[in-house]
Amino acid sequence: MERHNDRIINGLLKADIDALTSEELDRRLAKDVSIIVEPTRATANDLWPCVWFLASALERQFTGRILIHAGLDQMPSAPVALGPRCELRSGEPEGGIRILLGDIPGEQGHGIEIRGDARGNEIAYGTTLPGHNPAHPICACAISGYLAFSALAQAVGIPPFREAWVQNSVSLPIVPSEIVLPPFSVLGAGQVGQAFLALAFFLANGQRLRVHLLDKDPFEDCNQRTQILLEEQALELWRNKPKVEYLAALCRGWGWVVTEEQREIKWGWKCGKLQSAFAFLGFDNMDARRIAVEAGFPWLVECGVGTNFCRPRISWHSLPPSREIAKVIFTEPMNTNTAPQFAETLGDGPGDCGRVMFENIQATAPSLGLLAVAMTWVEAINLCDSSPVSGGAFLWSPLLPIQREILNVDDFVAVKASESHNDQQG
Amino acid sequence: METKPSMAKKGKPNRGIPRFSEDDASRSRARVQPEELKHTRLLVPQSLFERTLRQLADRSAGWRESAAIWIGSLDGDDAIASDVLYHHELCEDNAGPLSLELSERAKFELYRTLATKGQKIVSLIHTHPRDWVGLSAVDEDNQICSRIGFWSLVVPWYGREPWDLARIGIHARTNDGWHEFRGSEIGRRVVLV
Repeated sequence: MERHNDRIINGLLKADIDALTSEELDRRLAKDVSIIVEPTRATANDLWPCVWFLASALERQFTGRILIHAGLDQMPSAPVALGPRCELRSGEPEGGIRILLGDIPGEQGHGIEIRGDARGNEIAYGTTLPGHNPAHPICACAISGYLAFSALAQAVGIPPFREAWVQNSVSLPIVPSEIVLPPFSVLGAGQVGQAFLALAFFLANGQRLRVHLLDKDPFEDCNQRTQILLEEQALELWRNKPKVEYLAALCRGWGWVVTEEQREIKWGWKCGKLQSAFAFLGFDNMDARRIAVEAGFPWLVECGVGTNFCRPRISWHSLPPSREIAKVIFTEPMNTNTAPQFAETLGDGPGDCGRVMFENIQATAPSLGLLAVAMTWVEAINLCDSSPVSGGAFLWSPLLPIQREILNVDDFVAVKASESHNDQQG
Repeated sequence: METKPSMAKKGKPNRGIPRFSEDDASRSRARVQPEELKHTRLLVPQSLFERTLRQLADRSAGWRESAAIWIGSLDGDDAIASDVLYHHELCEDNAGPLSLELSERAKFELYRTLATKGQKIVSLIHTHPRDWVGLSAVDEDNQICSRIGFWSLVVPWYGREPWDLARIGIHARTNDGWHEFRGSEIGRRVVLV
């Protein structure tokens, strides 16, 4: 893979941190990272999901080894195997970056040492949480996103952001109990679509889920750097394959009942007879999200990630299939201008002028997707509230307050009425 | 750089990521000047400003977009331009009536060169075909720098004279996307020295 196709290096260079070159970034990202877990808590119903998500993100963000000190002699059940650079270790942790999970003593003057914890519906950064509740899988996933981004930020020197607002712990609005997951659809099976499925694996806890997958694209090699269900050592299984084909086979391997559809959805597309309680939208554009809203799903959840590594922001929404809400929420930043009309005049003449595809590698890191899907799953299991929700969070500096707003449907109807009135006036 | 993504040629792989809706951010930034840009200024030597626009107008030749990058230094809230690099000199820019390109490879070479010299990318400046000087979705996405306070100027009519700052689109990167300075604010923000 060419260096500029690496979304992480790309994003770090564009963030303009201390005039770093890509070679210097390579050097800083070549560190080993140790994940040190309270041994009694490295279990499937507590912090193992956190370890797996964290290692999955770290092995994509760093080129060194990911050394897991968890008192384990084999990896517990996981959506896919961790890569060959992830090793279970015993004995004293070595140098490099250290991430401590749970009640593990720190080491003064060690260098980069990051601490996190999750219990019940609470996550903590820089401290441990009291009590005996095991971590809910959503919280395990959320804190892994924060910790993985923190490791990246500290390794390369991303400056702190809004430190005055930082908190030690945050509670997520979920009841930490086992739930029965309904059938659902995943539309868009890239970075966040795969993270959403991976978290579903842990939430399902052996349940036989029914899932429909839709995506139009095949995989490229560079996807592996940000998409956590692509095994580095099993490239031949997914390279150039349709995303839905590979992922459907993977999910069937988990015991799920899966249907798949390789297609680009267009206006008029309907979900038909799919028995989905909700659809997760992992699309890279707003048009597809608006189309999906009108496709007949009873409810929709979606999330997105920002591209600025100095202000790593994610957002998410939970909404009914309302055209009015979708129209307001899913707006392309397209301004009123003369250019589109001008473009029309160009037609399809010789030379194909005005039709150049920009080479545009958008920056992202897998850690952003982890927090984004954790918050989206919060909404998905809260669907019984039947209220549309808009949320946003920054991964850095952790933990900044999470914004979560219950939207008032009447506001969107009012916007529509106002637009309609203006149209008539105009 | 105004091509709508939907107009793009098919055949290249889709490298989009699940970006979020700009709506939440834009609702607030449309009304309030972002705090992080409170004192931000762009200082450009008059001679550099004129040289850049003349070269862009020549390159555009009344029919295609052209673009350049001002490089220089940062001093607190001030971004100080001291030199210019043109897209068409950095790489094959594939310029057309509504678009041009700066390849990711060229961007990486640029970052390397600037890091070696200790210089910063200060601003992007590019031409649009008519009087609309906003940033299109592609302009917003196709970033060369995500630093808060990074500048992006859009010159109307393919850079044709007169070069009046009031007619040029003056945009700065915020926490939540881009902010466009308007009216009397422009003269305080972009200072020709």
